[in-house]
Amino acid sequence: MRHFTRSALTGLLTASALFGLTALASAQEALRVGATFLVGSADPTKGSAGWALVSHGVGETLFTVDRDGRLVPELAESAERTGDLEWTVRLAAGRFFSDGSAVTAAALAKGFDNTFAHNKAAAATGGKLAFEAIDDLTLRVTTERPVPVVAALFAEWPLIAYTLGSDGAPVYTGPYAIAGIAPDSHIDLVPNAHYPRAESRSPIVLRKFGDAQTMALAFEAGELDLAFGLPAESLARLRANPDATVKSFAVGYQYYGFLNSERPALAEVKVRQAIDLAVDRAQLVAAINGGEPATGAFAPYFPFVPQDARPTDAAKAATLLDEAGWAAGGNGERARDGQPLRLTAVAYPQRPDLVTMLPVLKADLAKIGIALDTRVSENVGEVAANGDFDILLWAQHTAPSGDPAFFFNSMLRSGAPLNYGRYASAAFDAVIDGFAATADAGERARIAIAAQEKLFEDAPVTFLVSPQWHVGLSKRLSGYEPWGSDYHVIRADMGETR
Amino acid sequence: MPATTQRGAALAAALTMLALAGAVWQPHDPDAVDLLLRHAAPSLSHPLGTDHLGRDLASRMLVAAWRTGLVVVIVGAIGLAGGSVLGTVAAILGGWRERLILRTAELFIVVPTLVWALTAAALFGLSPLTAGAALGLAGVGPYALFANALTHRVLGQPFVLAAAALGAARLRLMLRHVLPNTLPLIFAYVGSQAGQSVIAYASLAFIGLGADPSKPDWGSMLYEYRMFVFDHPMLAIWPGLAIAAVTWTLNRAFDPPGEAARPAPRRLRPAGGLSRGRRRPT
Amino acid sequence: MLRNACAIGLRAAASLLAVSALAFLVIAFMPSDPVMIAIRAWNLPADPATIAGLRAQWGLDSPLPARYLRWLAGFVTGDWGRSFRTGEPVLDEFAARLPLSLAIGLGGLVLACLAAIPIGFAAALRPDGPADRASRLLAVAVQAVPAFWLGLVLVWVLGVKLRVIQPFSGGPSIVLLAAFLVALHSTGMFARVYRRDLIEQCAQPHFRTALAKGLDRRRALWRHGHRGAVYAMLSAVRSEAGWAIGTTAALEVLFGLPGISQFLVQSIGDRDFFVLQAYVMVVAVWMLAVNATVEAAVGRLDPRWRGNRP
Repeated sequence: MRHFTRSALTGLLTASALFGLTALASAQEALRVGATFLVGSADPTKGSAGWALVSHGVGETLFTVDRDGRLVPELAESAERTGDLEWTVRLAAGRFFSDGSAVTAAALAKGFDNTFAHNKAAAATGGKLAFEAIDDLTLRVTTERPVPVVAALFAEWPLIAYTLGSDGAPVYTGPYAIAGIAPDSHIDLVPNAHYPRAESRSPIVLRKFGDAQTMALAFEAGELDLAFGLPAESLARLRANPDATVKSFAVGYQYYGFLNSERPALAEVKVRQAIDLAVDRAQLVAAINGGEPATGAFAPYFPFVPQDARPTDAAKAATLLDEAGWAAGGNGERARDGQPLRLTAVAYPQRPDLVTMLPVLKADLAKIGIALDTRVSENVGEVAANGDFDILLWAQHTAPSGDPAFFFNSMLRSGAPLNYGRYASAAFDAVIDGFAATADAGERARIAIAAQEKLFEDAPVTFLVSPQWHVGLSKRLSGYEPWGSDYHVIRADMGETR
Repeated sequence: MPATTQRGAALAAALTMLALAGAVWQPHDPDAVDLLLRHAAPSLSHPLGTDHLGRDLASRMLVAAWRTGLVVVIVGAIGLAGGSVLGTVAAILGGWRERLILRTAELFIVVPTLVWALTAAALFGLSPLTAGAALGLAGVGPYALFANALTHRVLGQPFVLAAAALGAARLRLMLRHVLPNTLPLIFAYVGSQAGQSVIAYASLAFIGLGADPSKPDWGSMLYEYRMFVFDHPMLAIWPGLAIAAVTWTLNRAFDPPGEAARPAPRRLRPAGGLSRGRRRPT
Repeated sequence: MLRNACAIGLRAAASLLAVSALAFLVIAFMPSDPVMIAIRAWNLPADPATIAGLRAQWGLDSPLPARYLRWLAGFVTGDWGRSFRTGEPVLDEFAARLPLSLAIGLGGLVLACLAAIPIGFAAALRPDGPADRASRLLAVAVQAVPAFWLGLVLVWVLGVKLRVIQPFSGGPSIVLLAAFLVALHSTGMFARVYRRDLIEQCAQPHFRTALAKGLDRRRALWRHGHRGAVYAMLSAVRSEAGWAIGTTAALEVLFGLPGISQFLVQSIGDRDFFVLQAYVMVVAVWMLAVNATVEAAVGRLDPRWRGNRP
């Protein structure tokens, strides 16, 4: 009897130990995440590593854009303008780096100084910034150029918040910390012990996939808990799987086309308006299997974008072309003084949706008599810089820091470096000059809408589609809510079900 | 020309005519997009169905045929002409000139096809023409060495030595004695490799150079329809079958299967009347 | 033997030098300026100071011959330059990535050779029989199906439907799958070459003597034909080595394997000069090594072929 009790007890103890161990093991089992991009190194000054580190949940910024498209504080609490070029930023209390040290103004200043010394991209908006720690939680920032909203500046990706540890390596504040990087393959993330509620997080293995279709297969095989950026063609198949959830969400990246105002045919506003009217956006959306017709320059969840979809009216487009002197010949093709109306549209393969849209565009323009030659260029930066196109299809996040001014200033102002459409309008410049004069969000939204109205009139760009992206989720992550495009793939709250 | 080469040439000519006919006439406009009719099943008006943009697949296949044929012809012509001329001339010239030409041919081999293709794409943009030219150049090396070896074999034959001793000029040697014996074998090699270049083009597009969807060829269609391989596999199967059919035909034409029944090696025939009366050994 | 090796070595070095010069020229004259590409990619201001700074940093401000000599000196001493894109030394990146690419490429070729011999032998033994038809079908079919297509279908069948492998959770299964696909591409061709040479051996007098002496067909074919056919097949390996690189590149991109071809593909868009140059050199060394190995094997085993290389 005693013998039996002893062996029973041993058995019970062993069983419970094993059970506890397995429970512990499964709680610690890593989440498997797949994406098509991966940070190359933990050094935030290299290339666009700063952006990738925020996206991977390793780093944070002082201010950030929340799911409703609003600029809100993150590591900072508030920012006040104390001079033409001077700002005082108050930091939030009780935040720690992943090595346990407290987040202080001095520590952040060290990091920012390092960024400005090595990464020229940080100086794009405000020039070179100088930092001074007034006390532990107050940071004085001096900009080189006047900046209307410094919060937007600090939401930009080069200005990721970090400090340099005792060995000179960067240390971050985000909910996860890097345990190991295998370049171009995967990174291992562990929960940052000094971030609130660290015990509710599991480690993560983030794997890079060169091909989105392969990632869809990996997800279908049950090898991923989160597949970020599934191709639209695979959704029907994946949705049929009862163990998997597929969620679609609107993203800040917009699809639009630059119309080259320096080309002779497109120099006339009527021709550009005709192209803008001829494009059937509903067809484009159907062709790329998702998204919504564009209503303006920004994604529909931002507060500063018009509500109505851009109109499509092929008859009106034809009339406009007639008025501009492009007469339709016998076979329907337009010509003027013996010259046929033949345009070239360029897209790039890094965004497959743009390539898919080319044939639809070609068919839409053929309906009003414009012959379109299409080209796919893998070095589109060159094409854009040289102006070697009539229509250039483009995908861009038009409000990355939640502020509408960035897009207008960098891509549409006369002489702006990214003004690939070569649009030069003094009237438009006057409208967007208003951004420099006000910091009020409501007023800035009004200016943004006015700017878009002017763009609809002049049609230097044609806004095509507000796309949607798709994420695949296993049972374990079925509570994950995607938002913020690809800027916040891994977050403090992954919605893990335990 | 021996029978197999004649047959092969005739077949190639027939395929070319078909491709050209397809380029000129198609049942529907291959670019006509109709998003209400996407992924339609085969029907009378759309014998192969429609693709993800509602374009008629049969029309696209027809218009793609000649572009595909162009790639194959360019690759074959460059490799064949460049390679065999180089190799034959090198063997006939002999000496340090031959060594130089062969070194150059080896250079062509040492740089792999991928690098040629990527360079051409970077310089000129990716299109069937540039890809064909790059792949053709990549083939010059192997063809040159192959032609060189074959020519040496012929040059060692007694009848050639006799002709040279009789004072035949080198050009005449090449045209009347060497080429008729080496060309059939080279053609066999070319014919067996015909399909490779089309697939290579698809792989290049896949690697990231992209392909323009409004200028289809069978290889780029394989790339374009790869997203539907699990849900609508027929879209990619039709171009694949077409390539396979052409490759199979060319292969059989230039490398006939009945050969095994006559295991005797191809007896090199001297041109001219000397041995016409002799029968082949079994 | 030693003199032979020296001769081969010297020839190889001369070829490498020629290739390096040719590649340097071509890469330097590629359209698109890497400095401008980087400025656009990193949103840097396109002012003369930034441009000059980057140019100096990457050594692009010297004349072409000086750049070539500087690169050559660095290359032979182990300094392969730094990547424009990542800033890391190129040699380190290649050293880390090369084993994977070799495993797929070399492994695939070896697998193809091993598989081709039984298939080719059976095809030669029974002309127009099942093995003959199968090898012909295989040789033709791989010309009609791109590697990425087959890769997707195999992953789907094995990983999704049958769940016999887990290719995306680390582990060797994905590398084995890639090597298998590379092998598939070449097996048909090798089998055909091997078979054809075996059949030619059948007409040789020593073969008939063997048959007359009472050996059955299979044993006679193996003992007298196999070696010669292997030489012929090894010669075919040389030309297939080039295609193997292309297939490896496509599979690395498809499966996201961090090999040197994937690195190349990323670097070509950025005109990352040092990486491109290093890639051409590494591949040239690989091709020359395959060449030399085949020559040495053939030359050592069959003296008749020495000096009469095809």
